Amino acid sequence: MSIIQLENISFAYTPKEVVLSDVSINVPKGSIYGFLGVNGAGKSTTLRLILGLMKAKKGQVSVFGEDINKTYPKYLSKVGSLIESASLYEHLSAYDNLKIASKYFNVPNSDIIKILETVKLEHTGKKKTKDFSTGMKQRLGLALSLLHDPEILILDEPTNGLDPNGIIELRNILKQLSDDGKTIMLSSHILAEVEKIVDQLGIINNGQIVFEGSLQKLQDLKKKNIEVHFRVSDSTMAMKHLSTLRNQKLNEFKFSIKLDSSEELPVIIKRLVEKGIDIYEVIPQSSDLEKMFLNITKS
Amino acid sequence: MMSFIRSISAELIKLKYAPIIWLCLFVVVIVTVIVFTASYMDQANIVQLGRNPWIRHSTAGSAIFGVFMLVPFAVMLISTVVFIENHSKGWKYTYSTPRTRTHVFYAKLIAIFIVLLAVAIIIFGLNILTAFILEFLLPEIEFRYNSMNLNVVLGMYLHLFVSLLGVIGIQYFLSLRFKGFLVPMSFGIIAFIVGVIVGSLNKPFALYYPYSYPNIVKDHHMFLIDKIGIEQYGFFNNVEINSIIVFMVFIALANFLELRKRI
Repeated sequence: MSIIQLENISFAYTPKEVVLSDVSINVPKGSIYGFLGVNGAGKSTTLRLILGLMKAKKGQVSVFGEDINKTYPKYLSKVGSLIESASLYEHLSAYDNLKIASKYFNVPNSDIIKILETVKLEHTGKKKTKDFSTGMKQRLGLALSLLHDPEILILDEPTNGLDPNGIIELRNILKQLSDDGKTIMLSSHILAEVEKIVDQLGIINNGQIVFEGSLQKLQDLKKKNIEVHFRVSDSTMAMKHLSTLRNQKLNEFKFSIKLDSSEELPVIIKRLVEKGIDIYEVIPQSSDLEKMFLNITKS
Repeated sequence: MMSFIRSISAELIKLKYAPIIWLCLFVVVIVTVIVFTASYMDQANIVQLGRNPWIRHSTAGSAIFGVFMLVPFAVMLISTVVFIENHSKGWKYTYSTPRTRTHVFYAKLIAIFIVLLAVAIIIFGLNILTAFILEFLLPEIEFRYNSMNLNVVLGMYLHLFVSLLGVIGIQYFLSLRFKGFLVPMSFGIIAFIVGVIVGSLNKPFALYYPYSYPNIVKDHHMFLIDKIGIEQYGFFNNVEINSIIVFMVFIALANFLELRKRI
């Protein structure tokens, strides 16, 4: 069941500046949904539409199975969000920032202490948030989004500005939240950052969804897109004999081939040998998800 | 209703330790010091046989506050209150909470009123305190043998507040439209200076310039206002009615645009 559903959403800031075009997304309940795209692809706009910060020109956004135009702003009581950098009143302490949020969400003060402990900021006392490190600010932003124990957590580029330790800490917190049954939708432009925790992926490029599905589906796609480099006696001749395949000359002795499956490889080697081409080296290229993501967004 | 009160409380927490608190303190101190000094220097006029010294003392208090401090203070207060939200990029969070935009809009406006009211109450309280200090320094003033007419004094402050509503509406609208505080604040300060000049000219067009309303709403003995054409309609005069109309127009417009703002 989809807890967040976007159906044929289109959005433009001006008639000429179309940001989203016919975007449809389904975020399954209880999943960690990675929303990927290069900068300017339309990720933040999509998340803002889900939060009701902007209205779509066309299409429908449903959260908890209902059109948000009908349930706004009530549905937000079960949604936590962190859009880009955290919204912090920097002249105030972490506690005061959370106190403000507690007023909006009608949360008791005791929960503020608990959430500060969760994000390891309980020791900050009266320290103003302007004196916090980037990681501390981001953790406080996460605390603000978690204070009211939401069912859905929407995080836009939550690892921005975090050091590797911060990223690992955040990942652990998100895994814990997922284990607690929360649905997490997080955007990023770096696949490597999210592939370790997400189970569902959506890839957006130029305002259009170019891939949506499980991580397994993306990995299956990876198996079908194998690139192999050959070092041979004559790359021009070799390529001539393999003209029907997707190949590219790298230099006089090297060329690359893109295969749809690994079963094609022995066939190619056999053909080259039959044609008298000496093969010195066959180098399978590592096609990680990051490359796939780039390939998908490029195409 | 409780959720609205909680939202107002959230708005007031945002002002904690903000520079506006120092501004409030400055206004309170400066008004009190000027009123005290003015009354002390003006003792010959205050000490008049058969005249209640409280009247002159209280009028000086409301005049100095109303004519010279109230508008620039309100301009800076409103610009700062809204700027806190802009500076912290707080709109995207505030509007992602289960509160309508109109709800947040009015909670912020009420918070501005509360700060204004608090400052007015403190100034009023300190005004009374300075009277007792003056009594100690200059026993011939004889505050103790006269009583303050609370209704008259509170009425003066109420008229001042109503006359300020137009400025509040315009400044709130401007502060929400511009991300920085420089444009609304500069506009407000310049408009205030022009307002003092317009108020002092004793011409009817002052009735159509909201930034001069606090100067002309009541006779503060600062300018001549007899030719402006002020007419009384029950408790309020036409200056106050104009102020209320300007306030309602700009607040409605600001709310309308806020509902359509993309965050």
